[in-house]
Amino acid sequence: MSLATLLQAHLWTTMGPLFVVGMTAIVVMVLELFLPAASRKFIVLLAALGVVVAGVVLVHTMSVPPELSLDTMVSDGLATVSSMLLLATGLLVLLLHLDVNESEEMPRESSFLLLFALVGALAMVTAVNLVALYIGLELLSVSSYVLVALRKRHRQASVEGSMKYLVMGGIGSAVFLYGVSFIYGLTGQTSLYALAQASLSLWQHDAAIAVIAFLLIVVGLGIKLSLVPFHMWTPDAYEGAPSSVAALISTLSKTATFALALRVLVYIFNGGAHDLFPYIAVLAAITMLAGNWLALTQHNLRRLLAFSSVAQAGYLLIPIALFGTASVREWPDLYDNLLFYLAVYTFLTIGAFAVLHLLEHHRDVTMADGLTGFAKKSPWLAASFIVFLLGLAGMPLTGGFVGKFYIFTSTVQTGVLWLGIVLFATSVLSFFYYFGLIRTMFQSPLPTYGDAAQGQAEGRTPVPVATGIVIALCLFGTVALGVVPGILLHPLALVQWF
Amino acid sequence: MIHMPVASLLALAAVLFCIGLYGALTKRNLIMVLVSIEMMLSAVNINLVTFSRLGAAPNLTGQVFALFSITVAAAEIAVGFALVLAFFRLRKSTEVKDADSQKK
Repeated sequence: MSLATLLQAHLWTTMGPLFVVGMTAIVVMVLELFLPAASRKFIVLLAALGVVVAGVVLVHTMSVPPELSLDTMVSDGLATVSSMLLLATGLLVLLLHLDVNESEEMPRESSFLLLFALVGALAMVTAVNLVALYIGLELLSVSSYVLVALRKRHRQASVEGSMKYLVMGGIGSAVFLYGVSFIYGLTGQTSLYALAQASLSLWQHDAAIAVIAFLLIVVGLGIKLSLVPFHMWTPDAYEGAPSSVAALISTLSKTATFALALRVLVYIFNGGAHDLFPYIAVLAAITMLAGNWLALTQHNLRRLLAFSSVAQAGYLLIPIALFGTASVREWPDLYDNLLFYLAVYTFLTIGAFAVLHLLEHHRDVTMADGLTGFAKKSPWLAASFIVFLLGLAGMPLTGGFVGKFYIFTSTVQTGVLWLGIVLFATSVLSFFYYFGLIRTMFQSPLPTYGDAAQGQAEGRTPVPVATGIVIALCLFGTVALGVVPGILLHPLALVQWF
Repeated sequence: MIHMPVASLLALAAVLFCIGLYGALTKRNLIMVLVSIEMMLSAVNINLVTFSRLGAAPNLTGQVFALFSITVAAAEIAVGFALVLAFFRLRKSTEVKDADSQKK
């Protein structure tokens, strides 16, 4: 590559936000070494500022037509919209982290690791080269493994959760990479655009190896996305992690990995999509059924949210599965569906984890029983928790309903109605456990004997400013996307996805 | 150059990958689990280097990819061993069965 091509590459358009977040991460890392522990808050705010600047850069480059730089990074619709969502997620998580950091007394490393995880996620959505995608995936994963282990108050659960996450995540990356190595071997290419052109001949000449590669890639990404039957690490990692990190691995890494899965699977395997993508449909159905089924019997709040996020991953997988039968004209709708539901899911999950953090920290509630009397003692907090739970269940007037409804419509349009029916049936099933929690909140607490009873703290739960802002923003996002979904759907309909 | 058939190299990688996967899922010692994951990644590297020399369209990208994969694997295993150390300090053990403080 000559110097001239490097100079003419539109690096700022494609990599601007990534560069800004990366630089912030390095600055924060160095500052953390020198500043005293008391300035912890300042460091997190600096990190949040970096994310905001990256957002400004992204908005600024949005008007520029899509560019491809160095045959590796791209600024197409999917990259821009997912980057936007990822930066918003990063900002919300950092704000939540401001309070979690104080109350959990987390080690200093936590804020720059959050930023490096964000860099990895941004690389996953902007890269169109398998090498760069893999580096992004691992940067996100390795930072998350460390972040999960940083909870000081519950040291053992934290280290164990991180260990399980690392072992499963390590197997996942190895399996994914093994599949990718076959794709490279058959075509000699790692650029997704070149692979998309070779896709049909790949499928016609080497169908057997293509199927093996497809299954390996799906299993590898399935472990990262916590699809059933590869979801075993999810509840343990969520239970061990600090609340802000649990919110991070359930939203940021899911958004990035779904965007990556969409790109990789659709670009490489569109030649054989009709035969291959039904496997994904089956995986989605199993995930929805098992995720909701396992959540039914859970009493631990974190594990319940973990299984609920497994089930949500099943819903999110449906748009990808539909690529098997959709015509190219219908592809933009599927992109819309996936990104809209990811946005809604991000608001709902971060909001739920923010409330859960307050519950755990101020009332010492970890089990569902501890919620008794919550609605009476802190009505506003309980009301927002109820909105998030209803949103996750898919109640009308929340974004969750609109997202699920659009996915359902797509299943009808592309003729995979059975998947839509599974979506509907499992959503009904999910109302049982979400409503169970809501009912518990309105029950009056049992008479307590001594101080053995959990979560019977007197009075209202205090809400710190930053967490309050996070909850308010998530609440606004959930309700706004439920009442006037057009504010997001209309812009999404205008996006040139690929 | 000695002629090496592609099939035997791929078979070596496949066998190594399967041993690694089996080990990662069944071994009782955390260190052995990490070693097994490392074996799976080595299998991937053998595959990449083989294809880069003897694949359908040989080029250098495969070797570059293998270099990246080696580096990333080293980082991942470093974090893994740090976690094993942290776990050992808490439980005085590196056995998988001792990682049982969370509810099943």
